Amino acid sequence: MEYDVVIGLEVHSELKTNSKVFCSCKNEFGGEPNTHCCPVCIGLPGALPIPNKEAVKMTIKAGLAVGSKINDIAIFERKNYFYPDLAKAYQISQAVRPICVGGGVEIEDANGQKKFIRLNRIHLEEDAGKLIHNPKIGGTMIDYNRGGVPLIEIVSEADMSSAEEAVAYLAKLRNILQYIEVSDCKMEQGSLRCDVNISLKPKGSSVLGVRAEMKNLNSFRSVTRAIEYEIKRQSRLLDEGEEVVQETKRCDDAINRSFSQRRKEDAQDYRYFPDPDLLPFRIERSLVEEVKKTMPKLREEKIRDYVDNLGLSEYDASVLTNDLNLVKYFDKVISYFNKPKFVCNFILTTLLKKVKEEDEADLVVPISAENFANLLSMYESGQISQAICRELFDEIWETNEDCKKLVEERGLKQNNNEDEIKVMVEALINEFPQSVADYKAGNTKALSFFIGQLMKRTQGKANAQIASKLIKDILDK
Amino acid sequence: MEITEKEIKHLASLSRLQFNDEEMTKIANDMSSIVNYVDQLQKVDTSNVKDNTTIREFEELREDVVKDSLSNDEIVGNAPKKLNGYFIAPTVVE
Repeated sequence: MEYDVVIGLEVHSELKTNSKVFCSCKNEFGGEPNTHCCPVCIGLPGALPIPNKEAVKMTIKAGLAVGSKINDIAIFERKNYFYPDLAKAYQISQAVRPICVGGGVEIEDANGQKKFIRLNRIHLEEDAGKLIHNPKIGGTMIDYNRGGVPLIEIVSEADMSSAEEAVAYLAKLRNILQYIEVSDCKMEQGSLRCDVNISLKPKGSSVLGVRAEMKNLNSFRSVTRAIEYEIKRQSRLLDEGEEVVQETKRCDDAINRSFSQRRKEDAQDYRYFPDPDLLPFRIERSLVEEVKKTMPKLREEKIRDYVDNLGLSEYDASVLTNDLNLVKYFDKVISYFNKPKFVCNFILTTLLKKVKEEDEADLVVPISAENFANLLSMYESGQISQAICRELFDEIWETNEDCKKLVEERGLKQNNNEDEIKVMVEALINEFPQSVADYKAGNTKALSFFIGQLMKRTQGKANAQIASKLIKDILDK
Repeated sequence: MEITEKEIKHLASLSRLQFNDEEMTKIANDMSSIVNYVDQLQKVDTSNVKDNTTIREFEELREDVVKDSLSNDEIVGNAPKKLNGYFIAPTVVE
């Protein structure tokens, strides 16, 4: 039978405030275990949480960026559950009155059609501690440094119908959160992760199916895999006339596998209630206006900027602006070397390939912008050949050594001297009569062969354009 | 409204508590009378009473400033089981 797939996402994103959401401990990834902790974030009795203004502002900013309505009064509630990642046995979260309500983002579906994914809400809560399951000591090790880090949960409506759409939605949100600089969105560090809800129903039916929830997915790949697996599993069950049981699966980063966490019989009942330690708080319109003023250019504006002012193509600008880290890097590079198109070309053809080899989601360029600008400038002005440029690029990607210094020390400057190149080219032509014959027979590969030989002999330093022209001149005579 | 023993069992398991039958009956009775009392309160007509919920103003919240945390010794000091700065809890995944 054919089924409609119904998918909703809950995206969690850690806010990059200085301090935690309810206490003044440092908000920082990593650190020695249990060193960014205090009575509030390890939940000692009597400790009093006080909300962080900046975390509230960042949540408002996220809401404004996706068109949410900002509530005038927001309430923190206790979400009760027993799991050692929370020492208090409850998480401070929001239920009936979150900071942001509604909104949505636009994605492209599989056919390239625009599709609007509605948001239910964005609320502010505290992150939980990190657990390391250690069978050797027969226990679970707990580090509460992450406990109390501000976390926003962005809850979508069940508007997606495929893994591709879910990934497109997640990528879009990630891009927005990154641009408005409320989160690092580093998926492998867990500062962006999501829960996927998925159910199947007979095609065209309006009755919702029973859903399964997969928690704690922290890469685009794991989201795709989880959804594809669930679609297969649920359609097989339904085809065989069996029932889908409502369940929650947890993808545990510590043990790197997913397991069924709970079934409906013991479905969690979080017993939310307003946290008596935290009064409802007011969000004045003036505060919302103040936050609105800090809203930076989002991707669409940046694309316009690049196309209109720097002369990049629509496509190039769109690829470049996919990641804010790249935008910042690019802007910095062109402040040293103002040839935007040239820089953009190199980034798109060479640099991004490198990034993709290393990591799928988190873009980090290990070469300083100035060093990279110098490399491109030497290449563009003909001081070094393309081959040397590529080689140096690979090398300084590892070391970030000063490329100018390397060129000086190793004598890598390109040979642009036509007379010297001509001597070498003539020698090659005499040495390989067969290739000359091939060339004359119309085999263009023979030209590449000559250039390759020349590069080998000059360690890549000969100017390939000059050489190519010379070879053609001689052989076409 | 009556709170059944089944509900108490459910709550007990959510709260990781264990009761024997005698306790269960007593708690179910106590809980029932508490809930009945609340039901009674809810019957009071409050339509003319002004909402006096205290609302905190944004300005009263905390500035985003980092202050010293406690030392690791102080944090894990009272834990019954610890190792290399970590708390150790009974295994939570099977």
